[in-house]
Amino acid sequence: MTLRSPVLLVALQEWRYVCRQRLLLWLFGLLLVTVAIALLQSWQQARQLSEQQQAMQQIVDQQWQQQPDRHPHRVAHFGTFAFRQPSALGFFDPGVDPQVGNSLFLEAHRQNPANFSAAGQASSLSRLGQFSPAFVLQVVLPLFLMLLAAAAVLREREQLTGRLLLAQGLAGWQLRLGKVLAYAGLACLMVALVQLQVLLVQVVTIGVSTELLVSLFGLWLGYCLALLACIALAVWLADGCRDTRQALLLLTALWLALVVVMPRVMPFWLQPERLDSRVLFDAGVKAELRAMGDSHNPGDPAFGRFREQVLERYGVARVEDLPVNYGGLLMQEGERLSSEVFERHYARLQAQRTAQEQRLHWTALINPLLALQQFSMALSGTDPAAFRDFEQQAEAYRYELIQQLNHLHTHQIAFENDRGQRVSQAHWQAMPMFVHQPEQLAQLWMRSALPLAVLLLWCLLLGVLCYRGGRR
Amino acid sequence: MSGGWRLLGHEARVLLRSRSFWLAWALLIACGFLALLQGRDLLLSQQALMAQLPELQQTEQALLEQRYQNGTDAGNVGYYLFLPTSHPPSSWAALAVGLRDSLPVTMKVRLLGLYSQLFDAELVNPLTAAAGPFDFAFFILFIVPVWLIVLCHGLLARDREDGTAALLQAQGGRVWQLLWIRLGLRVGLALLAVLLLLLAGLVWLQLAADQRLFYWLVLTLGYIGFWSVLCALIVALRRSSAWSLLMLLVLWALLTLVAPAAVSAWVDQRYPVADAPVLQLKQREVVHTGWDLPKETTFARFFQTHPEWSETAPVTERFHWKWYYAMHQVGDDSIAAELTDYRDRLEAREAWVRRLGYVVPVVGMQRGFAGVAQTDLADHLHYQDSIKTFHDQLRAFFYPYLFNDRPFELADFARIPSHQWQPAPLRSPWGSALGMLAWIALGLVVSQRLLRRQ
Repeated sequence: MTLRSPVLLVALQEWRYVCRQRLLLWLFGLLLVTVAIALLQSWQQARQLSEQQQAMQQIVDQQWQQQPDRHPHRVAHFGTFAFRQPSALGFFDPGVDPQVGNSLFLEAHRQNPANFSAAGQASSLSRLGQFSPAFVLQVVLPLFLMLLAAAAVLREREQLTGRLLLAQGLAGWQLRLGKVLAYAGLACLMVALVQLQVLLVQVVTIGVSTELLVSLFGLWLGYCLALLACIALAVWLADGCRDTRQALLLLTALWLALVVVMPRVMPFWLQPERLDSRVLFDAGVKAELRAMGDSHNPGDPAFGRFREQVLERYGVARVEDLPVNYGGLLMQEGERLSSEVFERHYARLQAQRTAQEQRLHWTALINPLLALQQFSMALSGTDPAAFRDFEQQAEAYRYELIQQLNHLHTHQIAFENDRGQRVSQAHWQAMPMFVHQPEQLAQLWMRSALPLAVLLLWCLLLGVLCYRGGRR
Repeated sequence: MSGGWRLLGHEARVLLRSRSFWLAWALLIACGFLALLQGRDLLLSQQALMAQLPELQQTEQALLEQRYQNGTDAGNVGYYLFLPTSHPPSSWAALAVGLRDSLPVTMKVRLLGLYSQLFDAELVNPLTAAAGPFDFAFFILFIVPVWLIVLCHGLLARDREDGTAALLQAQGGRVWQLLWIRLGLRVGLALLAVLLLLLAGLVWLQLAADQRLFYWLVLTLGYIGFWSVLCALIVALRRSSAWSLLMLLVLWALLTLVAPAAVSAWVDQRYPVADAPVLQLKQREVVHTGWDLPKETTFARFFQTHPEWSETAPVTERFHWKWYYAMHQVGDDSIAAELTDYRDRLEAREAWVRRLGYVVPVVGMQRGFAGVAQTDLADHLHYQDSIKTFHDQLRAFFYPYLFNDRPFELADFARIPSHQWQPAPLRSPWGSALGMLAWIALGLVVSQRLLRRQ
């Protein structure tokens, strides 16, 4: 596009117009201030969480190290805690983080839920989403850009300046795309200013990495595409409207439907089955575990076959003659089986959740702002999948830890008078503590690529529609 | 006087003949109905869950009864028997779901330390929970104001823009009269829609028609009144209809989206509770340290809070259930100070939100609706208290068996206490309603002044 391209000229003209409108400048200023407040607020909260978590992690480490000489199975019941590290961009877009717990108690025989979610302890206000820069950019900004872009198109028509321009040889599509370009440019600038604020906070606090820069650029791109789609939609619809009044009403209603109503109504229609309550879930797991037998009791007949196999493997006739502790072997077997049962039930629950999520993802096809929401939280590492990753890491660690302790039980504790013995604390002091590994950037991109593609599609489609124009 | 009536009749005819108005009105009703439907669905599913609990309980208890039919140590029963508790919704919960869709409304507890059980989270889908429910309170708080804005932003400007203003002035009507009549008609019809929906709710959802109906009506009237006056105020500035719409939408976004979120974030940050897991950390440490301490130490701590059992026989064997449960109780007792501190912070959050609710209308309304429906954090804390009471009853029931070495007979199963739910007393929303009234009065005075300045 050369400097004399008519599209660019229209855009330049529009920018000049915006700069002359005091009200509009105030409005954009207000938006930026709101974002800045949201950013500071959100960042402060993330920092608080991270500080308090570090303090708790220290307590947990200390508690673990300071255990006296104990029976390994006591240590397994004592357990430890896993804390979820807030994602680096969580303060930009908290995603589902307020809904999920950040602390998980890891112990033998049981898989506990992550407790103390922020939403569960909040005053009853936070039902519209946490106050964050992403909230302002996803919810409030599209409304204003849409209304302004529509008004810009119809202003030309109503003040008859449009006809003048057309008479001078400007094509209708050039006018429309010029307006789109003008407001898309403003949108890109706004988003860039917000990302700069985010970057600034990061530079001051934890420093910048290439990964962070890539993520920020990705977010900038995604937000710009989504806002571009909104603006193109507004320009296209406005072009088909009778007058400004009609266009503004139509766009307000559309925004309300897309941003406020749909995200709350869709889940209701898209989840035919409700998730089991924890009470029912636990009852299901328990019923199966009951049939499995009690691994604390070496005489439990439910483990008869296992005992025979063990005796056969070691070529002895009685468990007392085994070179290792049968009680410990039984614990290992019990942990393996109970984890299997839990994993199976949890996988079913997870499948239900994933099905619900996927159906919501499909609605992004008819709602670019939902695609933006998915994209943003996926790339910020605050989507449900990121939480699931933490749960899986914690469960893998738990299983490994408990089995290591059961191994100690098998080899360091004699079968005779099993419960009366202890092993040295040095054994578990050497075991590594759980450290939550944030996901790799590549993983985040894999999940955000699809919504980004949807956004691109929307932009193309609406670009074409804008080019061809409405009925008038 | 008759001029005013004639104007009213004329305006009513114009409005009621408008097809687009009825379309908007039908949309409003449809949205409200959808909200009722969604609230009802959640309520029904929770009631169905609670109805399942007794049977589930009986099956599990029957297994234990079979296992211990010849009597057993009460410690076994206390260890293996999980007892259900539930938090039944008030009939109004369907209108304002509050926190009920993300916090546990049923929970099982056993005789072990309460604070290793009480905070267990419910299984929810975080993605759907993040959006929050679309219930009737949401409809009134967010949708109705937009409807009013859309219908009322151009009440005076339209005449100017259509060129009919001069015609109207020639008929001798005063501008302020015209505005209040037009606004009154639209607000009246919005109120009619809300009242019809509420009536439908009363019949369909069988809402208890007690003082909660009155509170709900007062809050709704106040809130709709607030937005009507705000619309009047902006219209009275007599700018173009596009300007008024934009300004009203900015105000709407600030008041309903940004203000509550900012208030909530500020309160949460002022009273952080991210260290809540410390409760569990510390309780667990104390319980498990018990295994490595002399039994007398644990009992000495236990008897400090339970002196009535201090005369019972000391434990000499390696394991005794009463020692086990004493360890758990000592663990619970050891976090009493932290627990009070945690509760204080949660209550301080509530108190601040209440105070800010007097000034920020949406905050006050949101609190008011959830308060009337008893679905807010305060009510969840009340549920936690009822579980605590139940756990105390359980301990009072089992301790005589444990400490007096009384065997637990088959017949004793039937005497195990069960969880009882007593709803908390209703809190009146007068504070928020008064705050709203002040705003309305202020808005009325200012807009009337602006209008008189013809």
